[in-house]
Amino acid sequence: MGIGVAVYGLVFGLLARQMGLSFAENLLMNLVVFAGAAQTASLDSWSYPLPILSIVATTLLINLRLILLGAAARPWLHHLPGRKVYPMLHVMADEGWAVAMNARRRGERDIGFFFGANLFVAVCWLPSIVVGHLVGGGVGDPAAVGLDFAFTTIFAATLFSGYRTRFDLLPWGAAGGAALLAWWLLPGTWYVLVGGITGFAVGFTFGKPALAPGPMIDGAP
Amino acid sequence: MTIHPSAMLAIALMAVVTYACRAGGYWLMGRVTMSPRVEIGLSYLPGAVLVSLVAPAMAEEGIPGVCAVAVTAIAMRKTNNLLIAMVTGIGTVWLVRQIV
Repeated sequence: MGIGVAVYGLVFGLLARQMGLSFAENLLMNLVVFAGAAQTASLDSWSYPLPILSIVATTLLINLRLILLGAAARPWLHHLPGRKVYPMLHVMADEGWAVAMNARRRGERDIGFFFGANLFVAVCWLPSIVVGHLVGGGVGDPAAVGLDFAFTTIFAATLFSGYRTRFDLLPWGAAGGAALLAWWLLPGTWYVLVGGITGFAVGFTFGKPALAPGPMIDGAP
Repeated sequence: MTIHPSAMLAIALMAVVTYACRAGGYWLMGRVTMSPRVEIGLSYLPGAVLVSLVAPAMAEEGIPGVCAVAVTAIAMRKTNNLLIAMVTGIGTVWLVRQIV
């Protein structure tokens, strides 16, 4: 798990530099946001003047799944007082959460395990951001080697690593169709919002139960 | 080592909504039970957002984009390794651009 996290962190640190984030901005974002998929999506439209509203809306949409993670962890964590749980929830991320919840299914009861697993992800993530940022300066013109397509490949890889059943294709297809339509008709990056909400609506209406939210990807916070 | 004011604002707001999601689900479960339908809908949300990011980028890129996304998907299903999937995807877009 640590290696997967570090590799993704490296890639993010590198791409963030390519998109013009300063070292301080890069580090700050990873400290206070700490959500790889949402951050990667935000980088995609990171050009000045920043489309702040659409960046924040996309971040919210991608991270709404964290509501489920927190909700699922409640029966385990509520034995601790809130003043201890709430600060630690900041480091809760897909990978650490999945490892901890699996361990709990196998009988792990120590709440420290939950936070330890999540903290481990953060400890692997942050140094790799620094390294990625430093290395990022050595890469030349991104478009010449196809690096401008890097985000799309990350999104596609993340998407297909989360493929569960054939039914997934229905909300995904609806989301893609709606996003394409919005991309043609609307300015900016509102197509993300349109597609995301369409996918949610189709999943909400036709979705099948008993599919727990899995980690987005092997190694993403 | 500078932080642009609007970058500061964007990062701060991103942090607020992200933490609200992390803490919100935990907090909410202490008060209400989430309807199973909402839970199912939410479980499709990340995928839907990712599709919405991929589809227009693929359409804009044309044939190389379609090939690259297909190769990335196959590589990810076979290896479950982000780096391998990404490198093969980027390699494909580069290669097909030379041909088309």
